[in-house]
Amino acid sequence: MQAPEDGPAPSHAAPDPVIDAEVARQLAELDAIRRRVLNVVGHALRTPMATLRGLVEVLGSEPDQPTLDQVVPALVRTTRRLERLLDDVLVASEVTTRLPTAAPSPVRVADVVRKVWSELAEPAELVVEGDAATQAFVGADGLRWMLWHLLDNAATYGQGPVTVALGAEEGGSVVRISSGGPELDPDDLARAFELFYRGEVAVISSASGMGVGLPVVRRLAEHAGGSVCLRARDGGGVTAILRLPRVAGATTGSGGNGGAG
Amino acid sequence: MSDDTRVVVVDDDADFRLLMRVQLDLVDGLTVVGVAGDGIEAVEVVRRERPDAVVMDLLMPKMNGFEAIQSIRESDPGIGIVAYTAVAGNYAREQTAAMGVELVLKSGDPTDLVEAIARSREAAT
Repeated sequence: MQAPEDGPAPSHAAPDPVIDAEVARQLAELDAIRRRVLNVVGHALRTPMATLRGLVEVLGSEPDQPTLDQVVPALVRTTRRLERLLDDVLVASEVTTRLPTAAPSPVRVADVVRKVWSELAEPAELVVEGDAATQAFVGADGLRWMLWHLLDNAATYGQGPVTVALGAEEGGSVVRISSGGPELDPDDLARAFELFYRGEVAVISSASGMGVGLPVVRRLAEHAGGSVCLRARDGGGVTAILRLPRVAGATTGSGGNGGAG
Repeated sequence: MSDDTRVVVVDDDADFRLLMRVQLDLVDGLTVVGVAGDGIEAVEVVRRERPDAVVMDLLMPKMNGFEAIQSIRESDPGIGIVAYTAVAGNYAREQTAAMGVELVLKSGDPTDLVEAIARSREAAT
């Protein structure tokens, strides 16, 4: 297609320094976000990648049986973790292709809690209380995924035993996961569901991890018709409250806003 | 009594800790005498084991590596310390340099770490 030679000159708006400055500011902001996300994801992937390579090389050195007995389960855990990291990033970024697919069915929550707990690398003491027969009407894969993050957070960052209280409220099932620890800043609790929130502090402070766990749990809970929120505990520590449908077609209402509440 | 360099390994990742223990124990002249999962535990294990060197992760819950290094330095300046971290931004580089601690980036290959452990001992004595 050829451009007309004699037509009216294309109109160009005069440059607006205010708009240009705003565009430049937004581009700089986007660039900062891009670097922050890459930094956090890179950090989260680096340790399991190094672990994977190292463990495979140990396997290749024909280790003795006791070493083998430790290395193989660690390899399995590490590869699972890499899979989960990738899925976490996709789901937290609102990519729908990795949302759980299992059809909802009645699932006994206590059984899933114990199964997930047994898969943690370093489980502390677990106390399950309340109604042990509590069921949720959810996809089993999504429930496992949510509980893995909530229990891993409690075991990693909490102090003392982790308590899981099960029950039913307002027609839904409620899972409360509590652990002790220091008094938490309400602002931190409120921002815990922000994607990559930890990234800002992870580079210079004590926080490891990618900062997608709670955003993922929120997205999965909402996908299942439920909700999740955090509450500071009196005397320190935190309780994560996961509300899930108990029967087919139900939702849990407003139970939590995903923030500190 | 063995002349091996006695090493304490600190990392909040249990499987990476396992890897380091296995890898470093395979190195002639090194013996891992203790492991810890956070800075608080690290300070306790170091106090108990009195190692020659500590391999310290930096980003950990409860007490981070920077604080743990400071604490160990104050109580026992003769212990060699290597910071071993997944990524190192300017803050980590500046802080470890200011503390006189060599920074090594995590890898599945322990060669760089083993060499840094040897240098940390020389620097601390």
